[in-house]
Amino acid sequence: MHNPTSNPSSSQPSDMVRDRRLTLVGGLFALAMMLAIYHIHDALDGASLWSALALPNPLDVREIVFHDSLLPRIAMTLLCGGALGLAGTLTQQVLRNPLAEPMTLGVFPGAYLALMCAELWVPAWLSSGRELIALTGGSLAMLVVFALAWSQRMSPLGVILSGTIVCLYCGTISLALAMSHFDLLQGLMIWGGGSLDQTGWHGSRHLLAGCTACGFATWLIRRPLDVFDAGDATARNLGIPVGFTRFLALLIAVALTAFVVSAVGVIGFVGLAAPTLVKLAGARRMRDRLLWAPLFGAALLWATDELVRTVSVADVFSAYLIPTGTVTSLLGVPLLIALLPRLHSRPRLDHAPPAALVLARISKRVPWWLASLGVACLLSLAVSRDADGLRIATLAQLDTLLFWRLPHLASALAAGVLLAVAGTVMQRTTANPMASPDLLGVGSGGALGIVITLFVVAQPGPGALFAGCAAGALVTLLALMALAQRASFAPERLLIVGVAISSLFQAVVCAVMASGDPRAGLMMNFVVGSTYYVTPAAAWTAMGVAVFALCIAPLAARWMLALGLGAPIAASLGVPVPRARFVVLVYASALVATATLLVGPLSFIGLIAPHIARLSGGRRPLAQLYLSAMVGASLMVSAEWIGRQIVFPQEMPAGLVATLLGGPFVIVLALRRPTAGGHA
Amino acid sequence: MTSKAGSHSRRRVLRALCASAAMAGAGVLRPYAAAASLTSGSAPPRRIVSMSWELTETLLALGVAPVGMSLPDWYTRTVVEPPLPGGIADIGLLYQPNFEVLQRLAPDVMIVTPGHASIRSALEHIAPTLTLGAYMSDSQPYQSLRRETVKLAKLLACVPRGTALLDATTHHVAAERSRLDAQPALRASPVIVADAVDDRYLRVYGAGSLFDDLLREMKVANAVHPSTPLGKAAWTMNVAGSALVPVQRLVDVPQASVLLVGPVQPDVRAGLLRNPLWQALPAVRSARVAELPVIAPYGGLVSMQRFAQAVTTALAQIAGGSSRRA
Repeated sequence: MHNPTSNPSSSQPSDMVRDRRLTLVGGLFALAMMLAIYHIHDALDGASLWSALALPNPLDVREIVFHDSLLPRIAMTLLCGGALGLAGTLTQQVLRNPLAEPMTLGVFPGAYLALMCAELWVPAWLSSGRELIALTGGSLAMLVVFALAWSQRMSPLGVILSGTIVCLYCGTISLALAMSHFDLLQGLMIWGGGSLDQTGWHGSRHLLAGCTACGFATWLIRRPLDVFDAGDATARNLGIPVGFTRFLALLIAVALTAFVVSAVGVIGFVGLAAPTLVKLAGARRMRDRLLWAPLFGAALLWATDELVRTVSVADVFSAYLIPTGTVTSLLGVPLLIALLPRLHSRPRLDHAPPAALVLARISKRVPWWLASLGVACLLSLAVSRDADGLRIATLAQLDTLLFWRLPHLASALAAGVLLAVAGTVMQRTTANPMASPDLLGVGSGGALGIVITLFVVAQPGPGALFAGCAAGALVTLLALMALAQRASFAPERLLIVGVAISSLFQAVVCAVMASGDPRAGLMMNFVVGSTYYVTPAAAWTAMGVAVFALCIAPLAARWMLALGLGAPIAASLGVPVPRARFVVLVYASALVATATLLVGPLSFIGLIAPHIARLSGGRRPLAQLYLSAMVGASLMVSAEWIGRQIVFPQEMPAGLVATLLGGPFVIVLALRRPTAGGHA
Repeated sequence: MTSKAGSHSRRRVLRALCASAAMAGAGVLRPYAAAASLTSGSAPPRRIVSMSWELTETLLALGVAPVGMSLPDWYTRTVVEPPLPGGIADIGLLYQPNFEVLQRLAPDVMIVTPGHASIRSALEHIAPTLTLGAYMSDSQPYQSLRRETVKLAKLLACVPRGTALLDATTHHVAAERSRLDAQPALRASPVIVADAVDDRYLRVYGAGSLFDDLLREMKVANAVHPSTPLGKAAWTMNVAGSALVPVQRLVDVPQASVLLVGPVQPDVRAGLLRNPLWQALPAVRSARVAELPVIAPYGGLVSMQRFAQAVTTALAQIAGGSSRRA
């Protein structure tokens, strides 16, 4: 099908490029093959290769290992790599987004979460409808991503940011589920990490059938897909049903991902790497990529898997399990950062009309929010469930527990304020309604610091954990600064770096949970976003930071207003744009880092509080900022209280409750905005 | 209008924040009842909260039932013996006990693990704490467990009972060892002690685990020793003395019998039956696989007595060829 001379316009340079493509795929295959031969030689240990291949002797373990473990694993690896390469190519083509792939679109985490829920609550469904459950979960997650990105006209950046939000959301829920069902889920964790160990041919045969069907479907729509390069309008003029083709291609991609997830678990970033790298190597036409990307994906995953096997028998690692999928996710992060400059499209700001929503009168809403904040604080301090139901603490009880409740109330309050202020500042200065401080990566960096501390220090006390988190956040912040300086602190770039760091964090957490290390259980408690471990000193410090942040906010009010109009206008208004962006970045990052120390890296408070504040009438920067601080504080305090009550006597992390409550709100908000005429 | 309202709200927010900060400051300065010293003479503590299922076992073995513990159901499922009496309060997640519940329980002492280090100072506000359970990551956990049992017995002022438990365990293990001595055939092959995590992975217990120590006491060879066999991958263990390995690692120890620690979940068992690799393992083919009852791998001395007995029974089963073909 692929003919090197079919392109009449190809000249000398592009022929050289074509050579590189073969070298790339061939080289990887050769590497994988060499390692595989080594492993096979090792496993056969003198047994006959041919008899093992053709008709293994069931009494000879060496032949069985070769026939039912090594070979199916290679087959599975090739199929998964190919499927993900194809899925990535399809999504990147129809969305015209160089970073679109099953992971960044939320399909993987969605499918994984769906299977996890099924395992916990309806295990009977798993035996029959594994693929269907994964397909449903994956599609739902992708729909949510599109719903979130819709308000930004599906701009590539918007899609990726929304995808990250969904990834974080699903990841948090998975973590929380794992926390309360740890004994049930160990097997599921291994599988979630993307472990490719095989026992028999059943899985790969099943996957082959699915991939063949999807490959055939892709072949049917190859011509319309080709035309997508020319743009929607041209394609429509040529009589191509653009919407329908896009729908079909995405459906195929989700189906491929669902097959892979239900067979081996989550394998990150192969779908990102394969199409991009073959494109760089010279596969410029869609039909070339449709052939080469799956080939490359297969070679890449096979080579990675063989390398992982070589490493995993080393002394240091052999007590732990290293799932291949986690390794690809880790390797994918640098790639994501390297690909950043290719994302030059940003949300267009010129058509953002002034607020068309019917906004509430701020003077009517402020007392309401103040009252709710007060009620939330009272509930948090004095009302708690016990065996017989809700009950109000007596004064004596209140007094003895105040040492514990008060710092927690203060930390929830401070975290809410800090995140809400950071969110408002970021949304204002980037003019991007999806700019959430969770996406800065500072929080994830801090949480990574906690994970490292847990594994380096023998019995980490609160001080050590705090130091680890602060160090992680600081290192991330410095890295962010260094990377951002080159882009003169353009906010979009920063967000993408944050996305990469968040992905790294999730991959590391996934690796630890799958490894079988006994400390994994303890780790989850710290990274899931609970105020539980906050010490009084940390809580009062955070409170101080929050008050300070609120006090100095007026100094940045003019910059917030000007930067929100776009860099050129801000510059013409006399704002020193790079410096202003730098200051705002430091301000927001410091707030987020402090909040991470209290509630972990994940919560939607920073994303939703500014929106609620705007809907409540906070239109000017400062009004929005203070109102959103109030909203954020009451949401966080309520989340903390609710978290303590719903699964009593267990505690659901405040960050998670806030995420669960805030998630649907974000979607509703994103969906209603276009009808109201753009964002304010 | 808006800006006026905004500044108004800001002032109010600031005032509210200042007020709460002041309140908080007052809270910090207020002295709390200092945690009473554990060594103070008087009556031995009887209202005890245990924050570990394994330590609850030792507590019950010493004749004291806790008033509260994390997720009592898990104890019943994973430790089993000695049986847990009813009416024990659930204090929430293992590493995040609920302080309201703790306060209402008003314990005399709380038994915590090294994993609780980060909240220990807060717990001390409710009651004194005793940190035990370090034996789980000790390189010689069995001896360490015996020392900690004595420590707990001292706290409960029931040292004679603790000594009796230690002696009973020594005696029990010795009895099982002499049962094996009497039938040398039972020790014919070394053993692998493992959990079936799913149908592809096993958690194998080796150096640094209680099971390994007990096997050594009973003079039963654990097949993970020597831990670096010639020409094979090493059996490296994590801090808790276990390793997560794929089923095919058992090919490296063809001579070993396999003892699966219960419970083996029904779907895992079905998966193993479908797994051609499992079926081809020498141990499975020659019916040298046995299932042990539910035993906590990091449990107390009662669990260890049960383990010793279960191993002898399993080995006798295997030797008698009556072992069910798993």
